[in-house]
Parts: sequence; C-alpha cells; structure tokens
Amino acid sequence: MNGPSPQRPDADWADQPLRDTLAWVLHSIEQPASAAGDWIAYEVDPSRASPAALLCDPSTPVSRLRRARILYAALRADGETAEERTLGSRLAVACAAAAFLFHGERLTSHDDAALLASFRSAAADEGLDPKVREMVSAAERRLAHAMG
Amino acid sequence: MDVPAAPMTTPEDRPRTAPPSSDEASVREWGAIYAYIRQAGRSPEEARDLTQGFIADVLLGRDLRSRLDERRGAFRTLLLSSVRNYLADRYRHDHAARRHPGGDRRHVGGDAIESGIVDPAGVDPERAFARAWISRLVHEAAEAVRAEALATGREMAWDAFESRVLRAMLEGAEPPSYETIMRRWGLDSPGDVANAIVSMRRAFARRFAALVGDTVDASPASARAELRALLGLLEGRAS
Repeated sequence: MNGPSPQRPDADWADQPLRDTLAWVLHSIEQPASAAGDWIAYEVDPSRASPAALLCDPSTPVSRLRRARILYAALRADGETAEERTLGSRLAVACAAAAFLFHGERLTSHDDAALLASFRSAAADEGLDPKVREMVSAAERRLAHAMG
Repeated sequence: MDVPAAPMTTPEDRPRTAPPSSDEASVREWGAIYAYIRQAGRSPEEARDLTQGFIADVLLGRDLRSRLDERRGAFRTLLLSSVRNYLADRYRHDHAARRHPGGDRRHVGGDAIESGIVDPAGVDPERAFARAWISRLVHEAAEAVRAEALATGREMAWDAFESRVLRAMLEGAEPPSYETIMRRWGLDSPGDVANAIVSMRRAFARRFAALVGDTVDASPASARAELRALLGLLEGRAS
C-alpha cells in the first residue's frame, strides 16, 4: 500500500511501480484514517507496509522504534485531521510499548504509572489494528507485573 | 515499449468539473492511443500516423468525448473500443485498396500489419493502453501537486515527497535520507519531513482520484470503481 514491493517475481515487474502507486492511492481513498499510519511505517522501514508489521515484530530494532515514535508523535502534533492526530498519539504509545515489550527499553521519560495508563488507553482504542492492540496489551501486562 | 513523448500541456489547477478543451484532450490521450496501436503490431511510423488519424477523424472529428454516456462507464473504455474499431476499419480499407490499386493507401502498410512489429515485452495492446493511460494520470497528478505546492510555499514538502516517494517508486531512484532532506531545508525534526510526506501523499491521492473521476462521472464511487478497474488491468484481470 505504500511503495515498491520488495520482490518482483514475474515478468510483470515493469508495471509494478504503477500498480504500487494505484494501490496506495486507492488505499488512501478507501481507508483515509489508517493511511497516514501506514505511510509512516513505510518511511521508517520500506519493507513494512503497516504499523502492525513494524511494531509487532520482535526483530524490529529499537532504533527504528525510536524513529517511528518521533514520526508518529509529529503526526499527533501536526496531523491534518483530528483522526490523524489521534492515530499519531496511539501509535506513538504503541512504539513505546513495543520497545518495552520486545527490548525492555523505555523510549519516554514517563514514570511507570503514566506509561501504564497510556498503554491501557491505547489498548482500549478499537480504531487501532487488533494486532497492535494485542501487542500493547502484552506490554501493559508486563509493565503491571513489573510494578507488582 | 517506445511511446514517444507527446507534447504535454501545462496542467492547470482548474476545478475538477471543468472539461478539458478538445485540443488538450487530443494531446492528453495521445500516449495511450499510440501505445495500443504500436503494440497491435504497427511500426513506429505507422503508429504515429494512425494515432494522428484517429485523433483527427474520431476523437476530434466525431467529438468522441461528447458521445460518452455516463451511465455506460468510463471514457477510457469508450476510447479503447473506438481505437480498436478504427484499426479494424483501417485494416479493411487498406485491404480493399490493395484489391483495387487505385485506392487510397496513405496510412497503413499491409505487410507491416501482417508481419507485425511486436514489442519484446510481449504485453497485449490493451495492457499497453492501460499502462500509458495510467502513466499519463500519474504525470498529471504529480505536476498538479507540484504546481500547487510551489504556489503555496511548500517547496520542502514537494521535495521530500518527490525524492522519497515518487522518484523512488516510479524510477527506482535511491531515496535521500531524512537527514539529507533536513540539512537541505534547515529542519530540526524528522517529524517535519514525515508530516510533509504524509500531506503530499494525501494531496497526490486526491488529485489522482479527481483526474480519474473526470474520466467517469462526478461520483466518488465511480472514481473508486475506475481506480479498481485500472489496478485490475495492470494485474492482468479483465475490466
């Protein structure tokens, strides 16, 4: 939905750039609320087509999660629409959740209570991809356990 | 596929409901018409002559665009069927001329038709038509977004979008890093670059959809359906 496909397995590869362009245009029109989240995931890692692909993979390095959090936070601050700003806010939290869950690292200076509250809020947002919500819930449980 | 560059018009930021002039239309559709004819087996020279003949005789001569009944679908499909019919007519005309040597054979060489000159890529004429049609839409949408961005002082946004998305996607160019773009434009945060790209992507998508909408009717549903049809054509699905 975002950019060139990493693999071009057949003779149709010459049309792939146009297909990719049409696909993300169509995606943008049909699912405008989620498109910005997908595009930023692609900006961070062109092999990832969505926040779920980027954030729910334990092999995504912390450096990429940190970069993603900065970009989603910028969307939270300056997104064109309220939906985009909300999405940016939730996905910035999801980046922090992924860093904590998969790498045991903190991307923010929030204390435990504030971090737990932000995880709970994001996990409860039905507008987020279910895979992302599940990952954030797992981070929430791990943090709650660590807090005793 | 060697599609010669048609003379491009300067895209204007006109309202989407304003129809293009006939002269402009003849130029805008040139590439798709040529691609079909060329891929149908004509030599480059014959394809150019036939393309010009079709534009003069059918597209403009019969005012093809005015014959579009919106309920019947896209202008693209009307144009494609008209080109196909025109080629068949020319073929019959040429063969009649060969049986009656005094006839007019100014456009088509029969030997070339029969032997064919086939693009090594082997794509069928309809797919070549679709590819050129979509390429033209991409070009026009990009040009319109660029003009709008520059007119509103958003040079950085256009630069980021063009270099990291458009050129990377369409030309396979290596995209510059965020840091390169930040240095170029004196930015402090990568978030500024990302937001600019998101904004430009959205503007491009809107513009592209509007251009597609102009070839069907005014409803967003029709534009979406046509976008899906175009995507299906490139994926080898009939439309």
